[in-house]
Amino acid sequence: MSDFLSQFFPPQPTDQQSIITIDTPLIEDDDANRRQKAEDIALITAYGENLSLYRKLKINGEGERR
Amino acid sequence: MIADMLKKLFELIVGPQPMSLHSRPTERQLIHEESKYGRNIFGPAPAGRRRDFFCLDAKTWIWNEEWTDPFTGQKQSSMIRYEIHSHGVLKIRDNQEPVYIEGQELTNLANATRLYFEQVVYNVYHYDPNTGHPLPKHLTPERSPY
Repeated sequence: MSDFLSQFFPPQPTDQQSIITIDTPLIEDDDANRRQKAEDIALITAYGENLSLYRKLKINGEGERR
Repeated sequence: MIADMLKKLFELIVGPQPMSLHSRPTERQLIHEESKYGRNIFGPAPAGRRRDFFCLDAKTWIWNEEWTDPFTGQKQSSMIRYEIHSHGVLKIRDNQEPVYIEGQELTNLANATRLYFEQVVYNVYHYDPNTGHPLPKHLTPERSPY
């Protein structure tokens, strides 16, 4: 009987679930911003560090081996 | 004090560099050569303005603009130093509070550093920026003295 009724009256979200549903888009935006920020910082860091390595190679004459 | 030191360092880097094809370049000479590409990343500077953008070291990028005030005829300049930290990029300007850049400004800086890296690695160091492999002789740009 309860299975039969549940087809017409699906479980209602709890208060906690409701809050998550309402906030989900905002949380996703925050996550996207955080990911983008982390990605940007990682890229800038990597380019700076790699350029330093190319400079060191050139200063130490590594390019002359080619 | 630090701003004055940076200005002097900047003048040393972007000023005329004695060059020798037969000796290994100094870091200063390499930064000077790199900055020739960095200044064009953002398109041509407006008439009467000089723009420089370069990587000072692994954790510091410099943006500098110089122009002459049309009313006073005096030389003006604006320098921004970007310090790279693990949790953010600190933007430091003369007489202003340092701020961590966010959002589109941070993404723009990341794009600028990528373009700088690609152009400099190809033209100054003669490596393929995508693979890291040395460029074959026939693809090596002739413009760079190094």
